[in-house]
Amino acid sequence: MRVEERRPRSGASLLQWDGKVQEIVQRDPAAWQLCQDRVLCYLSALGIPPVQSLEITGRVLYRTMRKSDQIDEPLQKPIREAMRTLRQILSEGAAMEYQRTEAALDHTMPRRKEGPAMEIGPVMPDIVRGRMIPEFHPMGLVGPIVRLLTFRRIGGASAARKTRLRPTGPQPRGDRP
Amino acid sequence: MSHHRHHRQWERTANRRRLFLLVLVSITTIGASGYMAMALPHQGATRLEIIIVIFFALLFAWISIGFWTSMAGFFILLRKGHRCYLNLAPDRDSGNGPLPSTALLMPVYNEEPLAVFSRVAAITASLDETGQSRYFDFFVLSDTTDPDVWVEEEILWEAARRQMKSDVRPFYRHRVPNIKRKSGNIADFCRRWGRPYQYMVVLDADSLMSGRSLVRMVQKMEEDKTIGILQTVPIPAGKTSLLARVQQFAAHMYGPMFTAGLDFWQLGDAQYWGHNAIIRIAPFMKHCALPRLSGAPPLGGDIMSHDFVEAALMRRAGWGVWLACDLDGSYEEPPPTLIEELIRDRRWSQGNLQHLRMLFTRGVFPAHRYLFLNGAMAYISALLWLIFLSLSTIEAIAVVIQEPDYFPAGAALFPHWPVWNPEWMWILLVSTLVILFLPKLLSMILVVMVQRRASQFGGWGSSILSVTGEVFLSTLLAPLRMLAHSKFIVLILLGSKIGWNPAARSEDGVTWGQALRFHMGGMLLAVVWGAVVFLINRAFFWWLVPILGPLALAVPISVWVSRPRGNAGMFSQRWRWFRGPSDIDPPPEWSLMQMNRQALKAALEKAVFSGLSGFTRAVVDPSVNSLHCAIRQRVNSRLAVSIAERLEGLVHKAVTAGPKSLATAEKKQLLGHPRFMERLHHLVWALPDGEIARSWGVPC
Repeated sequence: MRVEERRPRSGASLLQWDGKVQEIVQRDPAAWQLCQDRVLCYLSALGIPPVQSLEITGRVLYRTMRKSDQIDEPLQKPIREAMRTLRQILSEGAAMEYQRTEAALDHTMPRRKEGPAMEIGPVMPDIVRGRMIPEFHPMGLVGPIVRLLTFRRIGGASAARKTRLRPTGPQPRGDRP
Repeated sequence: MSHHRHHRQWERTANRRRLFLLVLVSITTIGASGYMAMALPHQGATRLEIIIVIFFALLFAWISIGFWTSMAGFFILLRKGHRCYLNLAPDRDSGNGPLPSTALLMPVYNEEPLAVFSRVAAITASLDETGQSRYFDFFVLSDTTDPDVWVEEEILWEAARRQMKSDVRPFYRHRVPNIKRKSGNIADFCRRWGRPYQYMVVLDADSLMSGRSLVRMVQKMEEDKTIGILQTVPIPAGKTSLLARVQQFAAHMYGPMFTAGLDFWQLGDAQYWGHNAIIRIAPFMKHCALPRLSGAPPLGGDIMSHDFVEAALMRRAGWGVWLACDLDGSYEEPPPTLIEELIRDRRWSQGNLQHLRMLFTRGVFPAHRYLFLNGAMAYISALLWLIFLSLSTIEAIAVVIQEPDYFPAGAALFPHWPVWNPEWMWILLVSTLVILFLPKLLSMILVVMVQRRASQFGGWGSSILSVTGEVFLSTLLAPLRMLAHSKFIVLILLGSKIGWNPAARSEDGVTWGQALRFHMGGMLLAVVWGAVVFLINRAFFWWLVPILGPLALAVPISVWVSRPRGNAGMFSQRWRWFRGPSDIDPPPEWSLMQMNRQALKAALEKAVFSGLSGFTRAVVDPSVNSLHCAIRQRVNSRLAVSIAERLEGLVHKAVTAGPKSLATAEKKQLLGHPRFMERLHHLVWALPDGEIARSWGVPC
């Protein structure tokens, strides 16, 4: 017997749709209760309104139970299957109609140029590489003082340094305003 | 007028003014030092007295610079209408014409995210009011290392972005390797995104600026193409502890006069204080990259106080660095407690001492060499003062216990009498007090009698009471600061380095235990020092009481001035002490910030998992997990097998042992890889009922 997909009756538990469902639930009622609570909480965290959350939860449980029904052994961990099913339903676009989930789903969705999934703003603009290279080499305190006292030119330390240092100073430079 | 002529004109003016300052400082110092030598028992004839006079001269020169700077500011402000060489007064606003693109940068490091993003939203809202916001983009550049704070920043960035209906585009970037700290953070921005922008305004996490001032700064940079950096004068505001209120009051009361004086002789060789300043990006990128200093920290390694060096480099490349001393709408927060202020000073003192290694860098202008020296002297002067006091104590003890040598040069006709002239010392003390406190008095006269702004400080009576109270408190705190700064200098010279700790900005006050641990050494020193002097030379003891007294009472003083609202700070508020314009007529940006803070807080508290810590929330909350993964999606997903295996191991550990099993570094590793965060999210939600699921906060 296949369980028909339908809405839960008013006032009835989601887990009490019909006899088959009852049978599946009876195998491990606590596990199925946990599934229901988790899925509802997950949808609530996504900001999906309660009525739609109940609807999605019903669909998740239905599909999970159906899978459970198709196999001989009862599901060892229905929660894992339920959460997987929930992700599947969400990625199918079931939640796309709800404003709050758009940003949440952005990274799982194929990136599109327009459409609600792109509502999240860019974290950063495009990278435009520039360069910053230090062009000065600070000297120690003692060396220059010694050079000063011995009347040697400050900054004329070594040939290597001379080649690395570009002429700088108060003179006008090419890019000076 | 060509740019070269413009440069030459202010450079000539600056040279004249600096020479004038040098003459004034020299005359004052030589006069006072000569007087000091005459007041000593041997009239400066012994070696000890010569050393004492040298230390006195150094210290007196140091305070004279501040005095004459303030005097210059006083006379400038007496001439109404002329306050700043660059005129940025609002009446010079050049309208609503198009502006070049400008990036507002807020580098953050483990700051309270709610405070950061409420500021972002307030600045943005203020910019919107100018109608020029479309020319600005806002970058929050995070170097945060705390995984919980990192995630909270992302959540708040998204919340602020949703709430802001503005043309300002808010961006968020988190940097994992914090190379070169704040300067590296800014440099990273410049390399990646700097080129499309003409200007950047660098802010601190506690900065707040009005949109009008931001627009005016960009306009000024456009008007004068020779300016490389334009630094505003941030006014401390927004804190309630007594210490903070006193600093806020002092900044409002004395700040304008002092900065006008600074501008008088610095002109285009001004300082860059690292925040609340606008920078021309292209020359900054070309000339202001900082090298790593040779050797190990504290005097080697990364340059800690990058701002002074960047200003010197910008100037070396031919661009002006100016102080916008007549531009308002620039705020920052003072440290709420004395201990926090001193911890900050520990960081700054290390950075400023590093500058001594750049004193002789080729091409740096003399004014900036002086500023390097000046920055270092801000802390070295404390050690000089301590040495001066120690030497004076030794001299006072020696006078009592040593047999006087009446014939130091052998047989002579007349003996050499040691003569102690306490009345001369009194005159010297009064002169020093004049140098220290006359600028404060003149500031008050300027505000109350010339500018007629007493109402902004609560009226005449309030202004006088507040200045008196500020003088009393600054006198009380000066020895505490002196001893702490001296200790920092000695520790740095001994090779002790400090890490990069975030600034504590919460107003929780200081506990007695914290104060005791921090000030105990100073208290013991003061008690022993005082007891020895009291026993040997009681007359000199009374001279030391204003210094040793506060040191001996450091713990209660530190607790008292740092107390949060409801105590000393609120007491002073109730009695209208230390009120300033920002208390009496708070700037609209503060209201905007408070409003945005409430709105962001409400948005956060609405979330189902708002009670969880940041990292746990990034794992559990589907919205936050997706947001984090979306932000990090640029990260290369191809990982080395060993790294992938390690991350897989961390995921397994987290799922089997709960969030508390993960160390901070492990949490950061997981946060850095969205694929594994997503996987962890799925696994946690699939956890069966039990302790581990409960530890993650998922329903059981």
